[in-house]
Amino acid sequence: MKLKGLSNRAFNIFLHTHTVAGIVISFALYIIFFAGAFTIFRSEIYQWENPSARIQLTENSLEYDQIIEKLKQQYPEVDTEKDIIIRPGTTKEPLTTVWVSMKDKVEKNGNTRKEVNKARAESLELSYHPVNKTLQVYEGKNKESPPTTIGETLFRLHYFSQIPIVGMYLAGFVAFFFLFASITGVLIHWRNIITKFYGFSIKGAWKQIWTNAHTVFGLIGLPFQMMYAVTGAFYCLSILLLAPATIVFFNGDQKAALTAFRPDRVIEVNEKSPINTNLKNVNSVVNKFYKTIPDIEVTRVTVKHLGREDAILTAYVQDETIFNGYGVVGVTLKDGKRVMEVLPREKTYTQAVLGAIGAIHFAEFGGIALKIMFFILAFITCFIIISGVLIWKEARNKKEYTDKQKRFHHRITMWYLAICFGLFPATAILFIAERVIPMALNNHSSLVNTVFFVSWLILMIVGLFSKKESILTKRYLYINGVLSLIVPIANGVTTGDWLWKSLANQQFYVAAVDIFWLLVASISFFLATSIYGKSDKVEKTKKGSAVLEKPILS
Amino acid sequence: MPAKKEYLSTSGQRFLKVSAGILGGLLLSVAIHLLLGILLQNKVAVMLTGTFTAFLLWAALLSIAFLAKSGWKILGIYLAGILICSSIIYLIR
Repeated sequence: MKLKGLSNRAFNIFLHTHTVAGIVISFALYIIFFAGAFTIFRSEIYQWENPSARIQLTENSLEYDQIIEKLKQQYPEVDTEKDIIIRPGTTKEPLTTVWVSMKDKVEKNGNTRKEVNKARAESLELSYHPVNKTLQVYEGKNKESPPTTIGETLFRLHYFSQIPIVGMYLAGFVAFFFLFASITGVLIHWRNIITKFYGFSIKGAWKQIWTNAHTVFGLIGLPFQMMYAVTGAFYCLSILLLAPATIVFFNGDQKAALTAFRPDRVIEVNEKSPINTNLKNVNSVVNKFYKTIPDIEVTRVTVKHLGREDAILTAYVQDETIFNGYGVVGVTLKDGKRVMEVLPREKTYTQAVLGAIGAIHFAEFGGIALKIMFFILAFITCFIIISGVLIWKEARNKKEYTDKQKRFHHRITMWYLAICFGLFPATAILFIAERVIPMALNNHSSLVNTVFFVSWLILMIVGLFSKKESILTKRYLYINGVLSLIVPIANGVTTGDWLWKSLANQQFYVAAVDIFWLLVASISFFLATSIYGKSDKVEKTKKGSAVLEKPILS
Repeated sequence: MPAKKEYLSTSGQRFLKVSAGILGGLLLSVAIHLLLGILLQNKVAVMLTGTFTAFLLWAALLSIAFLAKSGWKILGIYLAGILICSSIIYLIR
């Protein structure tokens, strides 16, 4: 069955733009989807990442006042009148996180504005252990980096934030051109899309499989990919629209714009507000939220101007029973009056938009099953990207092209594959490094990061010694299989939480990570052995590929 | 299977189309959203809807730019669109 397709001219134009846009963004997009797939499970892998968080949280205990009291005793240099942000522990991430600011250090002689600003910027991240009841510095002061980093590293890699300043915008443009490539992809395949969809088979030569799979998986994943292209572009490039809109609609007054959809962001306190020692305690206020708003969990609490007459508590709440169940409530601590509220079930359109974008982008609307589905879809997208690059190369493996051109196409393909396939084993090394490098080291996280990026680079170079794509792929699969096997072993040796033990102790979040890597190992070995047979058959029938069979590094 | 050369533009034309599509497309998409916001009551709703529609419209405008017969023409059309939108916005404000 054929649908009405494009004219010859339009088809060739879009084919060309689809190819160029696709080739340019391919490896960057692969990194984004790969790192993003892992980032979906950032909370779920936290207990594996941080052994001190491997505790069972029986119930969400209210300990806000106790934490603030401890904070005052242990860290007198912290200014408790400034914002105190507390994120209570959850079953996934049982440690409570606290963010505070230090007191302004006013120098006696040189009281320049610069120094005050520098002192103001000093903030502290602490972590509270709900079982041991201890409060520890996480980041800031003499600790340069947070104690653990897997989730953070992959999350930041997801939008290239390791590249200073421009990284996020680069990721945004990659997302936008991904949107463009998806649209042009649908247009060029439109005519035969139904035939190809039902005609898909995994029998036959690999070349045939990846050509057809590019179209078929592209169609299956289309809603998912379009959603990520648009929301991803939004997260990185929203300033392109929001900045002019704020100028035109609100004369550049950001606060006026924010009031309508983020009322929590415009709360202000009066510097001269008198001291009040008779404020309501935080626990009782938060407890009241649980009683008055149905089905919520308090996810974050901010206290402003604690100890003063105009102290305000802002609580961020989440209703897991509905889609986009985000909400925020502000209450004065003097008399417990609600001064601001965005309730999960009573949001206006403008209050709901950004939350909805977040819910779908971070896969937070369908429990663990949806997260697994999105993870698989992200890997399918990675497959589409790789198959696109291979189609690009194979379509140019013809006699119209000179040997020099063919070598160029080969070199590009090999580089792209080395960058992309090297990332998976490098991620296994990231997990291993988190366990093997001693947690006691002050710069643990930066060491882990260095190991991750250096091993990714080494893995890339190792792959480039391969003669052709199939050999390169097979080598990476074997390396990946071996390294994946080491991940649960590294966890068992360093923490004692071997897979059978964590299963017996019902530490399912820890066990799941080990099981995941064991699965990855077996899939890698399986694919590595199956690639061998098929590509050999194809090689015999293919002529004229001799020029390509040289490693680009040797 | 690479695209047939006879349908593709020369490098000068390509430059015009790419700049019309990327830069012109972005500015026109933003200008159209701003115009809608000025005309409609709920400005914030337009602004937030724009967080996704602006990118979709931009991608559409980029695609259309490549289809154009002449790079000058499409650049002219987009520039005219931007000018019209911004002058109406200027007059209403």
